[in-house]
Amino acid sequence: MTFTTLLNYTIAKRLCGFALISLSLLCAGSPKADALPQFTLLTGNKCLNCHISTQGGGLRNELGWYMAKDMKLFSAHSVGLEFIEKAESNSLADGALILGFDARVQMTRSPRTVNAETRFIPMQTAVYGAWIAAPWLTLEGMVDVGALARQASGAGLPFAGQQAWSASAMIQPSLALPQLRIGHFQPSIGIRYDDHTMLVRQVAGANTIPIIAPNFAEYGAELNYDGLQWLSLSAGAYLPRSLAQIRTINKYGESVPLLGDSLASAATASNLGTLTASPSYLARFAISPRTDDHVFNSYFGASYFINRSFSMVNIFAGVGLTDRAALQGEYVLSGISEGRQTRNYSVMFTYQALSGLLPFVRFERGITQVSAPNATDGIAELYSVQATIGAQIFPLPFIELRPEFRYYDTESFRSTRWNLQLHLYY
Amino acid sequence: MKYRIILTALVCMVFAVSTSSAGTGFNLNTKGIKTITLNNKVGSNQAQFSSKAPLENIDGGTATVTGSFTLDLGNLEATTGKVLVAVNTMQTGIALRDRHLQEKDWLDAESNPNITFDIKKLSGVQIVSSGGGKGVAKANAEGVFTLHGVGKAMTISIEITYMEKAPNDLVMIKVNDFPVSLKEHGVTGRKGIIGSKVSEIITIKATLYGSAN
Repeated sequence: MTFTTLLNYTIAKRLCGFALISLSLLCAGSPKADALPQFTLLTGNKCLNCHISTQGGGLRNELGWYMAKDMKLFSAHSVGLEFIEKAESNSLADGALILGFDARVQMTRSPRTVNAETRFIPMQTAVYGAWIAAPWLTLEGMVDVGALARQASGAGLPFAGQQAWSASAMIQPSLALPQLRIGHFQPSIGIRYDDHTMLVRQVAGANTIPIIAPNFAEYGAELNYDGLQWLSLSAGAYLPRSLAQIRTINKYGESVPLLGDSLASAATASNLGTLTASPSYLARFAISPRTDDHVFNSYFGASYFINRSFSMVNIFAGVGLTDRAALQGEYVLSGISEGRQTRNYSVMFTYQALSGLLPFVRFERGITQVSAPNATDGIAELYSVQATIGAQIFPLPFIELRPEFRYYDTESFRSTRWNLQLHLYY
Repeated sequence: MKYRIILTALVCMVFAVSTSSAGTGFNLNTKGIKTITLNNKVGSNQAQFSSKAPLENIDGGTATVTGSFTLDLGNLEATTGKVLVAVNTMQTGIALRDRHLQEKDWLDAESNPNITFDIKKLSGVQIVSSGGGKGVAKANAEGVFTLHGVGKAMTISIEITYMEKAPNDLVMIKVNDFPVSLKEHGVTGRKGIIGSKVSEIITIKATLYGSAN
């Protein structure tokens, strides 16, 4: 055994060991979402071009998989991990069965207390599969193994509305026609990110909680149209089983179910009759202009998600230079008519220094308005500011490291933290 | 009598031979057969391709086009030659996609480094203008187009402009849009991509510049 072989073997063993430990920890796990909207601005591709789902995130299709395979700073061969690069596809059975996963673990410290200990937080262990049953019919599903294990142990999931699985049937006779999606899945709200701690999906304040939890899913039906390359349209109706489990603050400062007591009870009891009588609705459009020479890419659009007195408006836009840089932003208004309201925005700039190295900066601000009987005008505003500098580093195919330095400023604390995320995917 | 028959036959043969070899030509001071070599100093040689699929339009190309051909100014039909495009120089606007284009599933640049067109002859030659040191003609170039190592007989519409210049005469050839089937050339691509993100028929065009040796 030569020194180089020994070195490669040692590195390989350590990396495999680290990956296995990480995966084991993830199996104890909790949540996180998916998708990299900045890539649509860096490549000019719609989410649909790389993912099975039109809204992006989750299972990658053939193009998404082999794009992911090529996102790397070093070849796996160079560190003795040839097996990573040997795979030719993420599909089996002549392309009919597509498989994938996302596993994330993060090393972080809570920003809320000065002496918080460094923790190793399992974030996501999602396993995906899709079966292309016919050219017009795709059946897809996701299971968050960690969340499922947690549910099985009776611990429950950390966030209201969070789900351990999703599954849907996508019916589309032709790419030029709309797609009908039926099942248990996340409505196409705004832009789907791979970081559930971003303020645009949070109720801002010292103790942020999600508005829309990671892996949020509802039973419903959605029509998605992507027949024109520059246009995406979605419209859907969903049973509010997950949404009804979320709580908010009413005008008296009391914690109440977002959609009222009756729907919350119906959601807990899975009372289909009551849930069917009060569906959530969604409408979304996105326009993606880009220049013919593929140099300049952009998107802008909005979505409107509503049920009873709750509504959520997402307005988003982004510009990008192919293979160079992306600037994206989203502004979100949400709340119930007589209760808590949120106004959050996020702006992010990504620079593609190398194919496998994308440093980024992000600024986010959120304002939450709640009733405060003691305040002069009866309203209190809670705020959060997050400024993040970090990088997406893809050292090897299917492995991402994401170091981040975050600055937090809220009405009750101000601090900074380093985080490091390990993301394994396929 | 016998000699008259032989003489008549000979005259007929000579006439027949001269008729068959007479092609369409330019009315220029320069005569004869010229060897034209593509030359970026004359003009930027460009080959461009376009894929229009439901989910994605891809426009790509290369400025690395080489080759040479012989041009008989008095008989353009007799033109022969070869034009080559190096696969590893083709660009699509996205670096990662350029790399994918060269991979085995697509154009397999390692095994088939060049896309070629072997020109066997021109047909349907029409002189658009000829005189004042410049000749312009439209024609169909007949030959074999080879992509991914698979050659197919093809006829491509072109426009030739010949200019008498010192020290060397110049030639510009506009190659009009022509379709190429990926399937016919054995390009399978990745499953599910041809037809959705890459079109099965790729449209190619080129502008070529050369000088006479």
